[in-house]
Amino acid sequence: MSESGFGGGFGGGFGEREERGGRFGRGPGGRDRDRERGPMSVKARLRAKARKKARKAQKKKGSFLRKKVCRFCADATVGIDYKDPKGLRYFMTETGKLIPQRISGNCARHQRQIATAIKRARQLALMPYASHHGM
Amino acid sequence: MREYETTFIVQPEISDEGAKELLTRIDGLLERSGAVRLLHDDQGKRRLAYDIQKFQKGRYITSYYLSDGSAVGMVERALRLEESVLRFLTVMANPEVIDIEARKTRAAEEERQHAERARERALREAEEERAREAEMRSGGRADEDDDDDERGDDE
Repeated sequence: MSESGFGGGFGGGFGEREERGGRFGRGPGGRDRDRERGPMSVKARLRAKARKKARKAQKKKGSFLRKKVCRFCADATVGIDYKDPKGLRYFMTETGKLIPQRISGNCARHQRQIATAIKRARQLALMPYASHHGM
Repeated sequence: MREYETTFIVQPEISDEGAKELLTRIDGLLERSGAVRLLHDDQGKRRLAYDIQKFQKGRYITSYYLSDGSAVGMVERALRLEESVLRFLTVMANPEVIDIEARKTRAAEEERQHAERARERALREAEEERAREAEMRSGGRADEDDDDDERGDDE
């Protein structure tokens, strides 16, 4: 009984403090930001939070996680062409699936271009839709 | 004017004359619809990633042309009616070509290069054909080797 009462009281107090602190701390800064680029959407705030968390995690692990760089942004001479299956093969698994951005490290724009190119190459039978014996 | 590229796969057994005839027909269509023909790029026979109409190989040809869009339907209809064409795909390569003459001269240059490459490829293929025939004559070992070759093509 006493234990649960204590817990609840503590929790409530903590919440109150957090809220108050948040209001004081964020008030002016938040308004500033609103004026600069408009209010942050819920999604944007969540993304920012996730980024912060990722940065923290990376610091903890040291250089274990390397930041991936989009190879097409890094080297502008490499084009994406649906008629060139050799260049696209890298972005496909052995079973013929597209490799996600999260693993390939492409930026959104180039990942989109790669996906379109692979889909076109599939229509022209330059690349497989699915493969049971690898490529 | 927009730049379009239409890639199509022709049956591998088609003769060179047959392919040429098809291309001249496309040229005629392009001219009639007011399009500017840039070049035809014959990429030769390639192994298909999957069978189409039970064919395992196909001859890939890409046509490049400038048009306001009216030529695309006509070219595609012609390809659809042509039975030796297994598959085609039209892609808009450039939504706005301003300097048409410059693009034309560049296309002529590209076509020369492609022709050069096609000649080399034809020579190589003829040589391979001869080698295969020689192997066939030498004995039953040929079958095994042939299989390895095909897997090599695929990769």
